[in-house]
Amino acid sequence: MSAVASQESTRFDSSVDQYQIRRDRINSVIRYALLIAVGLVMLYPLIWLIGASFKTNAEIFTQVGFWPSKFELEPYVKGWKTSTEYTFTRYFANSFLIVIPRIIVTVISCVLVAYAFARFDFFGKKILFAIMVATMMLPQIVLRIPQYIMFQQFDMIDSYAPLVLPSAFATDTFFVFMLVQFLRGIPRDMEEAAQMDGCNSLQMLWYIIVPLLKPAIISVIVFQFIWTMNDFIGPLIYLSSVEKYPVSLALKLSIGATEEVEWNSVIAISVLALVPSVAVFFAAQRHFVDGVASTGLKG
Amino acid sequence: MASVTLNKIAKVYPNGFKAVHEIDFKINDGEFVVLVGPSGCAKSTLLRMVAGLESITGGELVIGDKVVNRLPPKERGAAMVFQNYALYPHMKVRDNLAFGLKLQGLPKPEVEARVNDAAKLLEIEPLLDRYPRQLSGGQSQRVAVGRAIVKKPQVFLFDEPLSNLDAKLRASMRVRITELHQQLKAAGQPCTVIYVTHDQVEAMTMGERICVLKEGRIQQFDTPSMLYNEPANTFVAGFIGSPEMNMLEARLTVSDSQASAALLGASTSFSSKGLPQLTDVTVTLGLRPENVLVNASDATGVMWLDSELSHIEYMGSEVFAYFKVAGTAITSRVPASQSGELASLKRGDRVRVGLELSHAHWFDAASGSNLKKQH
Repeated sequence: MSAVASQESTRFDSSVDQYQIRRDRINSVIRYALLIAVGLVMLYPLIWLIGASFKTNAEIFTQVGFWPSKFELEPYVKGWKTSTEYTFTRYFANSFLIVIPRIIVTVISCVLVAYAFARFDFFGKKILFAIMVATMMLPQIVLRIPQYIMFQQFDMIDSYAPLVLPSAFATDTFFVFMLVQFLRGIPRDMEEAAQMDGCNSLQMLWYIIVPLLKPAIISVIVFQFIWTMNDFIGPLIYLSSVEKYPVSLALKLSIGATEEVEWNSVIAISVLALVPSVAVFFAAQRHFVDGVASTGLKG
Repeated sequence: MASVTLNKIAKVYPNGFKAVHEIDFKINDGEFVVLVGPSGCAKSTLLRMVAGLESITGGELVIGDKVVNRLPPKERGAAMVFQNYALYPHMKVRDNLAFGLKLQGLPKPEVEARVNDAAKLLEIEPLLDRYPRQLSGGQSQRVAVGRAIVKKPQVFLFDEPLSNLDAKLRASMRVRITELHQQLKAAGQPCTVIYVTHDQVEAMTMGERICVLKEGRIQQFDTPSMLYNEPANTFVAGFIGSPEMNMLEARLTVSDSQASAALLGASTSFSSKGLPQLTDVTVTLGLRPENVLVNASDATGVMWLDSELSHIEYMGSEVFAYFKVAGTAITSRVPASQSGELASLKRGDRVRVGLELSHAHWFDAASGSNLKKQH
């Protein structure tokens, strides 16, 4: 009697299992189909851009699909040469001449300022912090004219100094704010231990705080890289000689020529201009995840 | 190797709150002293003031023969073990231990030798190349102790170092730390230890002397046995010992060699050794649970009372029995072998309990201080 009952129940269980497995499978198919569809809609402009970069100029405006009828490398070659006397090698180099120094000074200045705000007590700290956060709300455009006049008086127009120098004074308040918040989440015990070990404030910053801040610092680097690489208005205002143009301005230059616009070349170079930012983002992606995981430091 | 002297040490926070009230004591060279008290009694604050992590707003702190009030932590010759270890997560155990020594600018071979010595002493050699996140709680704890040892400090400061460990590990670490203290002493490298805890078991088992604190004031600073047998006031009496001491209200009259007490609706007389002259004064009587007898015996100086059993806790080697006498709760602690028919009794049963008044502590009802200590 009992043996029959147990047999019955195993059969029942296995049919339930079968049903469960089938339902899970159907669910996941639907889920992925939906996700892929939405993903494609969002990525379509990018896919079209890449497809169009291999098309001829005529095909771009006559064909709807993104798949080129023939893969032409010519737009890349022509676009890279540009209609100016410099190739894009020059413009990419210029971009990096702005981006790299700017990232270095940003990280140094922002970490120092954030450390002060997060860990030291000084007169007027709260008010200063409030003012700093308030400047985040200020539209950039309001600052352009006074800044331009200032750099003109410093005789720094048509150099990279106006693009790099402000960051050396922690004017990227968003980053300072972000680092301060991150630092506030780090328990002070380790710093007290370091103090007992004989660290002074700067040693503490270098040996203890900076390693703990690594995920946040990497975020700063990635954001600053992407924002500076894509910055258009800054170089447009401060740079006048073509030989100093970064990629963003050079791209515009190739559209603004007198002759008919070679859209396929413009698009091809746009694709190439995207590459560094995307590469930096993916290279740093692992550390973003790291940063989330390492917030619970306590043993 | 240094004594630590606190001369009227005080701490007032900027908001006016006074956390530490003029604390005075001297810790001898090589002594193991425990600061104990309930949370908020300023024991950690006091320790952090000695370490230099918290500023001192009054008094004088002397380590060795130097006044160190204004010296930064590294110049005080103290090393500290933190409650949650505070190991540097981005450094291997080896570098965690060596960090302080490297900062001192010691030559590499010496740093290595000291790290290896400490690792051997604490049996953490296999862990040297691991990161803190790969260690268990007990291992992290040992590394944290190691980080203090390598510095060969004059004073060791422990801030509730065992409170994050489970009960079993805590017991073994307790023994280990005490042994370590002895070992260092035997090796001719005695170190003064100040150990903060809220756990009275840790305090009683580890401390050579114990400082009981309450609300930033010293209640009693004495050896474990003195704390237990001659508590200075009701706070110390209640804090040390488990289950807690019975506190009963009584009226006491003392004249010459005879004392008589009235409590719980009965009265008795006994020898008045050490008590001051009193006439019918309300006092607090403190009686340890082991001095409450449940088995009728003919011992003298025992006051027998009728009681009602509330409940029983069987602890294995002992039995804790909770009674009600005339509406007042009384706890008794009896070795299991002598508990007799206690185990078979039910809640509400009548039991005769005997109070051994010869072992009683008498406290002033208003101030709570020990009447014997006043003389």
